[in-house]
Amino acid sequence: MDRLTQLQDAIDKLALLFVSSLDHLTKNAPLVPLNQNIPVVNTDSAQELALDISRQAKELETLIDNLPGISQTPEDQTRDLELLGQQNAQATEDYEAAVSEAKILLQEVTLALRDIAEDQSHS
Amino acid sequence: MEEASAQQQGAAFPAPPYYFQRYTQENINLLEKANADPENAEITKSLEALPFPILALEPPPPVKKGAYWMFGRAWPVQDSLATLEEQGIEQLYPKGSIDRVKELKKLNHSAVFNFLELVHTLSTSPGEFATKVDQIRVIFINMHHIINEYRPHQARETLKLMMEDQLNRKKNETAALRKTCADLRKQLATLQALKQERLQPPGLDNDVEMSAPASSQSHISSSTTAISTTTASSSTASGVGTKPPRRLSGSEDKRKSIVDSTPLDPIAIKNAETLARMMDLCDDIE
Repeated sequence: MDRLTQLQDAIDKLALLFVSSLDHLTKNAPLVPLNQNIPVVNTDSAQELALDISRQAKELETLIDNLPGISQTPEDQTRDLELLGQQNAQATEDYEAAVSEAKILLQEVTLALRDIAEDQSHS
Repeated sequence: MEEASAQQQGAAFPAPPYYFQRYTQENINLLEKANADPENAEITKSLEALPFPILALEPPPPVKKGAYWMFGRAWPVQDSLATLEEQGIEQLYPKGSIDRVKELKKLNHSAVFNFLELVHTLSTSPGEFATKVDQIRVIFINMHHIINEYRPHQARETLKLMMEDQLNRKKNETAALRKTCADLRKQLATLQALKQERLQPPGLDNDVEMSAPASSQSHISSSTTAISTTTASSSTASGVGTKPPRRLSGSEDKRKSIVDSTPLDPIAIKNAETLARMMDLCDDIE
């Protein structure tokens, strides 16, 4: 998959992590002890969520570093494309010439083979 | 007509537009005559009799400027990326040419930092979340916009790669064709030379044939079947249908007493193979 799409997907994933971490915190809020004698198991979800977000941000940074630079201007590119188009047209002409030659040769060969077959049937 | 179109909008297979009835043979002939000879009086008279302009029978010219509608959406004719100001979003990175990598990294950090501030505001005064959320939204839109500016460049690069690929493929195919043609010409040349020789010494071939009937029989059967199948296919391609049965029966009967085809057979086998390859190439061409 190309790098630009990967980068954009990573950005979207970061946004998703923001939303889902807030959601998780509100829905599965850590428990508050009602009575001091009854201990409460506190799952450390906040730490995990923070870790996820920072990990995703780091990945994003790595992807940004691997971005390919824009080396050619659009005019350069259009020039290259025109040149390639001309070369392509030329190559098509050559190809069609070769095809017509091949068809002529095919007819000659067919005639030759027919001669062989006639000889065989006559002998 | 209005009711019909209202019903069709819900139908699974809508009817063709009502002007298909205009395409009668007479109208088409009239269109051709009008295009060829625009000043003729009787043609213009019959044109005016039609309830629609005659040029409506030809396809409409392509849209040159503005926007066009396709599948319910408006597409601009010049496909360009809208700048942020046009979309109404504040542009957080400087205008003009920028170092994309640095700006993206800055935006990345500020996104995470803003999220932290959001969490703080939610814990202190949850009612005021709107500004922070909006700021985070603007940051993300800016990041996506920077990346979208790469896209036209990427599209042109992809086009260039595809064209180079096509060019190489064409060149390779041309070279392969020419090589096979050259090979075949050589085969034909040897065959012609052999044909000249054959006309001189027919006596020799008898001894050759009697001494090695076993080995040559396999050659002969393979070569005759190869020749008959290939020539059958080529001759049916060229329209001669009656030859194949006669050739097959003739070759089977004469298998034991073939005189002058024995020296031809190894050449003929090779010839048949090259012919098969040539025919494959020609099929690809077609």
